[in-house]
Amino acid sequence: MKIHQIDLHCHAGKSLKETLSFAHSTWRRIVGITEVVYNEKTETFENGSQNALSLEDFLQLRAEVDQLKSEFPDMQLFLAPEISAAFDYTALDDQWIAASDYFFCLPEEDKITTECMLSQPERAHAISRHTGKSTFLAYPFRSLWISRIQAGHRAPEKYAGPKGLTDEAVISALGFDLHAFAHMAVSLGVAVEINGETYSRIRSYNHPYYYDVLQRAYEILHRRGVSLVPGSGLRGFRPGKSGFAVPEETFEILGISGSDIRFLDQIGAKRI
Amino acid sequence: MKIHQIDLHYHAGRERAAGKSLRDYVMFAYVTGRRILGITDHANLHITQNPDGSLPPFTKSTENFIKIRAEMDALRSEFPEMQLFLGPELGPEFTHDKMEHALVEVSDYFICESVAFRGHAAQNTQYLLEAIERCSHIAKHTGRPAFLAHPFRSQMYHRYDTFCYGPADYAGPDNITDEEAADFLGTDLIALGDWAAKLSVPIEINGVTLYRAHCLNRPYFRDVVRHAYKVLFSRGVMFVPGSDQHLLSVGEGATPVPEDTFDILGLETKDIVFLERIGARFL
Repeated sequence: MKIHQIDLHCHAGKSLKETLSFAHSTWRRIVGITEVVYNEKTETFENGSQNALSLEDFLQLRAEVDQLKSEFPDMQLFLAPEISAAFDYTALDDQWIAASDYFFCLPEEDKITTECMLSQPERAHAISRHTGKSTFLAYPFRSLWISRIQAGHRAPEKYAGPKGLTDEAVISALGFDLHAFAHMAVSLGVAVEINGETYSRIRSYNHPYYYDVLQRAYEILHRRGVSLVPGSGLRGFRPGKSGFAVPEETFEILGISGSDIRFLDQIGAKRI
Repeated sequence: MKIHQIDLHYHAGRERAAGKSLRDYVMFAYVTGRRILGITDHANLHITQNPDGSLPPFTKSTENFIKIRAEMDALRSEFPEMQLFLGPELGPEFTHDKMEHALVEVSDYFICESVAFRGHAAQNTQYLLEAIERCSHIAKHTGRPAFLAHPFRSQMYHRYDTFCYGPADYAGPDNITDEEAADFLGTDLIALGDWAAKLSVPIEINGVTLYRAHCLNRPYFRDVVRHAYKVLFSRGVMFVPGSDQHLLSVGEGATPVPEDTFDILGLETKDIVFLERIGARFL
């Protein structure tokens, strides 16, 4: 099984059936359907309340997913709420937990310090302990790296390619202690997502340096033993024109194949 | 100078996002590392109103380009590290004998499109060969260089639309054959490459095509397009880097120059012959 066939972060969108049809035609075979659970009092999301899941919505989504399994017999479908940074996960009761195959959580987007980043694997671990379900940390570098670029972080004048990027240079670019982050994730057994949306956004900045820093950050995590999870972050698509992809290239560079994705074992997915 | 610093297909005309100026677009190009920038707009685009109800910055095609040219020239002093060019994108309806003098006057070069055809290889190849010839004639008669844009885009969609995704047991780019790439993209690549080389018409390696191939998730789409470029390269075709970016929205329309494909072909800035034709300086 190839990495691009595994997508554990696929937003249901307005029509779950259309999303699954697109997922199928783009060769995804293990698909984790999600929507965001967030704190409506303190957080706002770009797409408004349509992405905020109530328990009722979620149970409906569960029923839809289960119903559609027979229409997509060669796909393995899972359902996993995406837990926002400010959502009180202890509010996830037995009904939420029973209807979820796994969870994943978002990092805080506006506090980028080592201390804050280290708290992210801790939070994923706490959600896993509370729910008894596997939980990974989604797009760890998306807002962080983009905000650094937008704040003016630029490629070195004489950038000579990824081979010249040391760990120190990557850590300096991202602005937090990546080694400590990796250590925390490994010690707590928390998997971290390699996220397609992040790559898509970073590619928009054109200069290969931005992309290479991201690649090398994941390489550091991998080298330090962090379990990595493929997810596109697909959220809306126009077939043939747009739609975030699973970042298979990065897994290839790291030498990770479908059989190496330990998280699949945790959720009971079969590798075909 | 690196390939990603050269973008000869950068839309910044009528299709600008509402409220964005040419300066905003040039600034985005600057901060994303572009240094040789070819600003373009679809020459056949005649809109009377923007989707948001506001008036477009220009009303008629030729006038459009004259104004863009003036705006662009005025921006040069603000961006002294950049070399700015204007290269209108000409649909297949534009031929050398139908070119308005005023349009030629304000243009540094032209970008030529083939018919956006989805279907049989013979017909598609015919359209592409005609586009190469049209491009050659336009260059000769206008005295402005020209290249062929995004040769594989329509056929790539066509394959996806018709449920052709490549071999089920696809084992990576090294296993794609020349014949397979030609068949998948519905293009006689040898004929296209030979004709383009013979008429000395460069072909664009197009960022949007590769971005969209990437969005189809299965690496086969991207790999087969790259293989097709390899075949063209083996026939002596010259290439031009162009992102074909239309929007400034990061992650949702802003597309990069496809430097990685040039890297795979082993092409560097010094190999971009088209730059000499338009008088660009290598920095």
